[in-house]
Amino acid sequence: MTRELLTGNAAAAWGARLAEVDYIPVYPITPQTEVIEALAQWVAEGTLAARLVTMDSEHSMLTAAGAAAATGARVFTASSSQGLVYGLEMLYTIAGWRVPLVLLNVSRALAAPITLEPDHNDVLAARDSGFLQIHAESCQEVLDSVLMAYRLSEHADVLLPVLVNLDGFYLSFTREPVELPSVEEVREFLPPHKAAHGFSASHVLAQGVAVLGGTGYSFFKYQMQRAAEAALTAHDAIAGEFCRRFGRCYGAVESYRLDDADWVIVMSNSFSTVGKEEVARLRARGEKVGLLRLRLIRPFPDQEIEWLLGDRRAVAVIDQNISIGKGGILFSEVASALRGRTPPPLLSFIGGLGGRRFRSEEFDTIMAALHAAENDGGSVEPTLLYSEAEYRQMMEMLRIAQQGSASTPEK
Amino acid sequence: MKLASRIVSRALFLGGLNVQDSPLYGAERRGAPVVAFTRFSQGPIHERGYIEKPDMAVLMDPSLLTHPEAAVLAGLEDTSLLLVNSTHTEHDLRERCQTLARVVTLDITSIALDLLGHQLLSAPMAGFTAKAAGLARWSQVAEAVQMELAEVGLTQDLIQRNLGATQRAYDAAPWVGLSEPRPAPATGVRRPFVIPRLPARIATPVISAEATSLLRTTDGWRVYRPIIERRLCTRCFICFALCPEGAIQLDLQNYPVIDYAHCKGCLVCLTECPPKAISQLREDAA
Amino acid sequence: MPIRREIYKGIKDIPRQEYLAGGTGLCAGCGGLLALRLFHKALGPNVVFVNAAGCLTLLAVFPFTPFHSSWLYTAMASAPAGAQGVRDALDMLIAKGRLSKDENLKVVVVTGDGAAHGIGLQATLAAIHRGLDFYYFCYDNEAFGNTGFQMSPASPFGSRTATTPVTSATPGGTATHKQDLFKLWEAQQPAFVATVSPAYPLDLMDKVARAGQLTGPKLFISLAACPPGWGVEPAESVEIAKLAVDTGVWPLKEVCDGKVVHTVRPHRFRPVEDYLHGQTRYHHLFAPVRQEEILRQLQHDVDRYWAAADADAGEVDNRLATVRA
Repeated sequence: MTRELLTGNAAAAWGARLAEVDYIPVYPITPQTEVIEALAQWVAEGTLAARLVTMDSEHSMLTAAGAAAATGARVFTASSSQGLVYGLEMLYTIAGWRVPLVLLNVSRALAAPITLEPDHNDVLAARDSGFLQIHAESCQEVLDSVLMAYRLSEHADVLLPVLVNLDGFYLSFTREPVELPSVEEVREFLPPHKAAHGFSASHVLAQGVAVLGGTGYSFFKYQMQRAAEAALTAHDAIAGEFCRRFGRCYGAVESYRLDDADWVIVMSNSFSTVGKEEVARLRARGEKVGLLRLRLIRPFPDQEIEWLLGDRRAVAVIDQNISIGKGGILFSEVASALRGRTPPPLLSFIGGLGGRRFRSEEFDTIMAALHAAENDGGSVEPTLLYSEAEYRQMMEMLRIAQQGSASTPEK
Repeated sequence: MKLASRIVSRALFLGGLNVQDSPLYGAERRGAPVVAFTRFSQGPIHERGYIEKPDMAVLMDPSLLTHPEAAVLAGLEDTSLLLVNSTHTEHDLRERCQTLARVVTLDITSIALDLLGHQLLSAPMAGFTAKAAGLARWSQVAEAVQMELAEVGLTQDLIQRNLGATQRAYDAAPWVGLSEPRPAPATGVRRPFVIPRLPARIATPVISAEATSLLRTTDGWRVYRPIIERRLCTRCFICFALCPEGAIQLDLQNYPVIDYAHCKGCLVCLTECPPKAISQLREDAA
Repeated sequence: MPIRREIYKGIKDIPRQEYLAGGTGLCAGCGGLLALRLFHKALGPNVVFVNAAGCLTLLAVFPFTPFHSSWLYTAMASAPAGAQGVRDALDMLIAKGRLSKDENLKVVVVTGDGAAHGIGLQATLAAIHRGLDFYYFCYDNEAFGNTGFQMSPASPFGSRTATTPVTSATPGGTATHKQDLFKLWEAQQPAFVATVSPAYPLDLMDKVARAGQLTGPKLFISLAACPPGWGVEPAESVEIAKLAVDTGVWPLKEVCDGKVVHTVRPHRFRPVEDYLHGQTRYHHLFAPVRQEEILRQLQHDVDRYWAAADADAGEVDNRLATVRA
C-alpha cells in the first residue's frame, strides 16, 4: 500500500487498473476525460492488460461495454452528464441483461443551459434503470468504491451493473492524498472474474431476447428488484470485508455526529464534507445537529434511513438536483423511507445546482428552519439556496443580455 | 380478423350501443393466427384488452379449431356461441372439437372466392356474425362495411363486391342469438402473491438451449399445404434451397421432405419448383 | 476482373446443415429470413448475431430461439457497437487464456434497412472505420417493416409506404430516392462489401464464403421481399426478388480490389415495370392513371446505373449469370 496525491479522476482510473479490467470502451467528455486518458496511457505502455477502444458515442460506448460484459469480460467505462443521458437507453438494456459492469459517472449539470460544473440530475436520470449507484464523497472513496462495485456487480445474488458517481471539479480535478493498495492486496479482495454467462462456441446463448406480454416482462423486472434488494445485504458483507482488509469502512449511508442529534441534515456526494464542517460549527454553538450522507442510492437503504431519522425533531434534505415540477429527488426518496410511521417534520432544500458552492450562512438558515419546523411543520415547497446578492448579479446580467451596454436605448 | 371485428363493432355502434374493439398485437405476422376483440354494452364499458370468457367466439380459419396453441375454444361455455367459417355441419364440428358451445357454421371461404375471387373473409364473416348473433340489422351492417372498408383504402368497386359477399353471408346465416351475459363470478379476498428471488444466473431473459423454437408449430398458419409429388420430383434442390423456414429437408436419396409442423404454407416451393412437382391442398380438406 | 465462384459452384454444394430452425413468428414468405438462412449456411457454425430492432428481432422471443448459434439483441442504433464489444471481449479472453481458441465465434450484425440507413449508420461507419473484424448482414425490405411499413431512407422513389401515402397531392408516394448504402459503406474501404439476393443463393453464399477468408468488416446488403409491405403473395417473394435482379433494379455486386464488380448481369434486362407491376406498393403508378413521368424516371435511373457500370467494367462477364439450375 502506498500513499499518493491523486485527483478523483486518477483515483477512478486506478480503481479500474487495480481491478485488472479486460476491456474499456471510451468516449471523451469533460470532466471525465482524464480518466480515459490515464487508462489509455497504461494500456498503451502495457501496464494494464486491457483493450481500450474509442467509440463513436456514449450510446455505442455503453453498448460495447454491455456486450463485452455479456461475453464474459470484466469491463470498465466512464462518462458524464450529456454523455450519460445520451446513452441512457443502453443503461436500461444492459441492466436487463443482468451483466456485471462498472460505469463511472463524473457528475456535471445537464444542458440547457450548458455548463461544466456538477449537480446530480445526470446520475439520478439513471436512477430507475437497474444500475446500482454508489455516490462517493472523496477521492479515496472513488477508488475504494470502484473496487467494491466490481464485487457487488459480480455477486451471484446480484448480477446488476453498478454506477459509481463522483462530482466533476470538486473531486474529478481535485487532488487529495489517496491510499493505493497493491494489485496483490486487491486480487485477494476481488478475485478474477468468472462470468455467469458468456458467448462461446460451446455455449450457445440467446441474450436480451424479446418477451411478448406483461407476464414475462413483469417477472424479469421484478427479479431485478429482488436482486437489488439482495444487493443491500451483499453490500454490507462486501463493505465489512473491505473494512477488515483495508481499514476503511463504508456503509450504505454514513452517519456524522448523529448519535444524540435532535436535528439532521441529509446530503450526498462531495459537498457532504462541507456539510460536516458546518455541522461541527453548529455543534460548537450548542446545536445538537448531525449529518446523514446518502452513499448507496440504489438500492436505497430505506430501513436504515428510517431507523436513523425516525425519532429526530426535524430533518432537512439538501438535494443537489431538481426534478422540475416536484423538487428535490432525494427528498422524495427520504420521505418515502419514513412511511409507516409519524415522520419528523421534513424540509427540502435545493443547493449546489450547476456546482454552485454552499455558503456557511445557508446552514444557519437551514438550522433556523429546522427549529421552526418542529412547531409549524415547515414549508411544503422546496427552498432554493440562493442569495439576494446573486439575484442582483443576475438582474445585471439579464439587463446586459437584453440591452447590451448601458447606453443602448431600450427597445 | 381485425377488420371483421371492427365492422361488427361499427354496426353495433350505428345501432346506438357503446362498443370497444381491439386487435391483439404481438408477433403476429403475415399468415400468423391473429385475434381481435369486440365488446358492446348499453352502458359504459370499463373492461379492456383480452377477453378471457367470451359470450361468442368467431373463427375464420377452421384449421385452428383443434390447434393447441391457438386455443380458440378457451373460455367458452355451454351458453356461448361459436361461429365457424367451415363447410362442415355444426354437429361434425362439435364432435370434432368436443365443445359444449352452441356452434353455427357457414362456408364463408366459398362465398369470398365466389364473389371476390380471393380469400377476403372479413366483411362476409362480419355479416355472418351480425346475423347469427342477432346483433344488427342489414342496413347497419351495410353501412359499417362501407365505412370500415373505405377507411382501409379499398376502391369503391371492391367495396361494392364486398357488400355483395357480406349480404350473401348475412342472408344465408341463421338467426341464433346470444345468451344473456353471465354474471361475473364473485372474487374472494386474497393476499398478493410474492415472487421469490431466483438465482440471478437464471432469472434473466437468456435462452441457453438451441433451437427451442421447434417446440412451436406453425402448421396453424397454413391455408394451403404444399404436397410434393415424388414421381415428378427431379431432386433439383431448389425447394430445399429456397424454403424460408428451412422446413424442407432432403432425405437420404436427396428427395425433399416437408416438415409440416413448421411449414407456414408460404408456397415459395410450389412457385419455384422447376418440374412443377409440388401441388397445394386446402388445409381444411387435408 | 471477373469474379469466379470458389466454393458454391452448383446448387448441390449448398450444405444440408440448418442453423436456423422453424417455428418463428416471422411472416410466411419472408425474404429476409430466407436470406439469413442461406447466409448462416455459408457462415457455418460458431456464430454470434448482434441484432438491432427490426423484423428479425422477433426471431427470438423468450423462451424460443430458432438459432443453433448465439444471439444478442442490443438496441436500434448500436448493433455494430455491440459487435465491437463481443469481438473485443472474445479477443481479450482468448489472449488472457480464459477462453480457448476453439471457443472463438464469428461476430455478425443483423439489422434491417431502417437501422442500417439511419439511426444505426453512425455506429456502422465507426465500426468500419475501426476496422472491426465482423460481418454485417442488412436485410433490406425498403421500409420500417416491423412497425407497419413506414418510409425509411431505403424506400425507393415512387413506392407507397405507410408514411408516404398516395394522395391527390402526392400521387407518386415516396418522393425521395433510395439512399445508396453500398456506396456509403464502400467509401470506408471495408474488407468486403456486396449486395446479395435470396433469389440467387449461390451468389449469396459464395460471397459470404469468400469474404470469410478476409479479416475486417465484411458487409452485405440483401434485398428482402416483404409480402405484407410490398403487397406480394408469400409464394411470390422469391420471384419478385429475382425480378429485381433481372430488371436491373437490384444489382448484385461486390468490391474487388477497390473496384465494383457485378457478379450477376442479366443477358437482357427486363423492363422495370415487370418488377413494379406485381407489387401493390407500386399500384398507384398504373391505376387509375399511369404515372408516366415516374415510370420513365424509374427506368431511366436503372438504365443510367447500368450504362455507368458497364462503362466502368469495360467488359462484361456473363458466365455467372445462370445460377439457378
